[in-house]
This record gives sequence, structure tokens and C-alpha cells, in this order.
Amino acid sequence: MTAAPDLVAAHVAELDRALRGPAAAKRSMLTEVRHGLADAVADHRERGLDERRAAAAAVHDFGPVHAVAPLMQEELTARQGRRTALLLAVVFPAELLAWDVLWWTGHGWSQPPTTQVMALARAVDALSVLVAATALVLLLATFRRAPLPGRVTGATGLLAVLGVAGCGGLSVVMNLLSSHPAGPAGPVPPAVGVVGAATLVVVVLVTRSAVRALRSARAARGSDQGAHPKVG
Amino acid sequence: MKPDAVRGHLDGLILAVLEDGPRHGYAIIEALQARSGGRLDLPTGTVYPALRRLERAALVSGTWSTVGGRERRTYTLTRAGRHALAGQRADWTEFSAVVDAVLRPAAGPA
Repeated sequence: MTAAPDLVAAHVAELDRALRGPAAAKRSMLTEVRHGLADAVADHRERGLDERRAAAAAVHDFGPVHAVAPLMQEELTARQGRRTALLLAVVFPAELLAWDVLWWTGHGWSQPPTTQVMALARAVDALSVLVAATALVLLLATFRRAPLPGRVTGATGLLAVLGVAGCGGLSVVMNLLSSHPAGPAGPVPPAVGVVGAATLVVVVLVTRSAVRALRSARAARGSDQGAHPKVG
Repeated sequence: MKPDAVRGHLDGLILAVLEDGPRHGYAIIEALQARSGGRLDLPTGTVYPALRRLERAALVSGTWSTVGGRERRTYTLTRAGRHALAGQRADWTEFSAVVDAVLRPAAGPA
């Protein structure tokens, strides 16, 4: 390997280390930068520079990592926020619907729910609707060009935590209060088992997405301290 | 022109360059330099995240292609992008007229 590609590769690698966010989006951005730098090197070569000088000129024109990384981080953070918001906007109504169908059809419980359980169920429903509606608003906010992805993504992460903890906690209490004719150690009705397993998957997905959103928002704030990205 | 002076207008400049037709990232950088007569002192690395920001806002659309062994993301101005460009041009005309009116040396006391 010659020195020139090394210079470009080292700059891209430094950029790679400075960025946090969805892997596919990050890979796409870095691929574009890598090939763009290759175009710039070729351009400088055509103007008569040797390979090493051409690479140095391309890297110089590109700008230092501390100047460019905050701008790229902002976009990665926005993408993470959009992903998390979309996930919340889809899975919370889906969960609400799935559990309500079980209640309406009487597949889950052979006895009518107590007043306490009904109140908790309505609270879970209301919280689910609130989370989904707020997620939709945050999803729309990710289409704005204004440099606020850190705040939007941070708010989305917190919303995800609130949704999982709130709905999860209320659901646990609700199930503890529910009396099942077979007793707590009895067999779980198949329909409840399927929806329960799906709910566990959703809890894991939303929790993971919340952690990623909060980390990404923190990364954007950290980058801002280096060079505030006000371009655009 | 210094980067700080360009920053607030980079999105509009990129939209203007794409008005003629689709371009990939480095071609956009070249077009910005050519149309400014080489006077834009801008780190070229800032153009790539600006393109992603415009794409996120649905003002441009990006597609990958491979040309001569190099992977290129080509950007096309969307209908919303054309509308945004028209708005930015109007804003700039108004802004520059106001600043020009204030900066112009006063005629002096009568």
C-alpha cells in the first residue's frame, strides 16, 4: 500500500472513530466520504501533484475531523432519533391493539376483570396512545433541517424509557392483581403466551433503541462542544 | 469568502448547484468552487453532511451508483427542494437589499 491512500484512509478512520450512530447510515456516510476523497486525490493528480501531495491536499481541503465530525454526528443522531420515534409510533399502538383484542375476544381471561385491573388497563392504553402520538410529533421533527437532532433524539430516547417503564410497570401490577382460575402456576392460555412473548420482544427492542438514542444524543452534544455545527 | 460567512447559506448554495441536474458529492463541491470563482473557502468535508441534512429534510434525494470503480451517491433536487430554493433566493434578495441599504454611505447632513 502506498503512502497516499494511507493518508486518506487514516483520515477516514479517524472520522469513523469520532462517530456514533446507526451502523448502516454511518457506513454509507463514510463510504461517500472515502470515494469523494479519492475523487479529490485524482483531481489534484490531474493538476500535476504527485500521489502523496495530492492526498495531503485532498485531506487538507476536506478539513480537520474536529470540524467535520460534529456535522456528520448530527445527521447520525437525527437518523437514530427517526428510527426510535418510528419504532415507538408503530409498536405501542400494535401492542395496545393486540392486548385489547385478547380482552375483547375473551381469549386471555375466563373471568371478567376487576375494577382495579380495568383502571390499570385503561391507564396502559392511555399511556400507549400518548407515547405513540408524541413519537409521531418527534418523528416529524426529524424532518426539520434546524440543528436540533440532539434534543429531538434525546427526547425520543426518554419517551421510549417512559413508555417501557410506564406501560411495563403498570402491566406487571395489572397481571399481579388479575386472578386466573388456574392460579399463578397454572398453564398460560396460548393466545396470551403469543402476545406476551411478542411484548417481551418489543420491550427488548424499545429498550435497546432507547439506549442508542440517548447515547447518540449525548454524542451529538459532545461533538457540539468541539465545534458547533451551524452550517446550513 | 471565509467559512463562517458561508455557513448559513450552504444549504441554499447546494440546492442552487443541483438545480441544473443531478450531481454526486465531489461534483457538487467542484460546481460550488467553479460558480464562486474559487472564492468559497469552505472545508469540502462539510458538504457531505449538508447533503445528508438536505436529504433528511426531503429537499434532495440520493441514490448510489458505481462509476469507474468508485461508489458515488448522486443527489437530485426534489420538488420540495425547488420550492425551498425559490424561498431562499427570495429571502436572500430581501436580506441583501436591507443590508445594502444600511451599509451604503449616508448622503451626509443637509
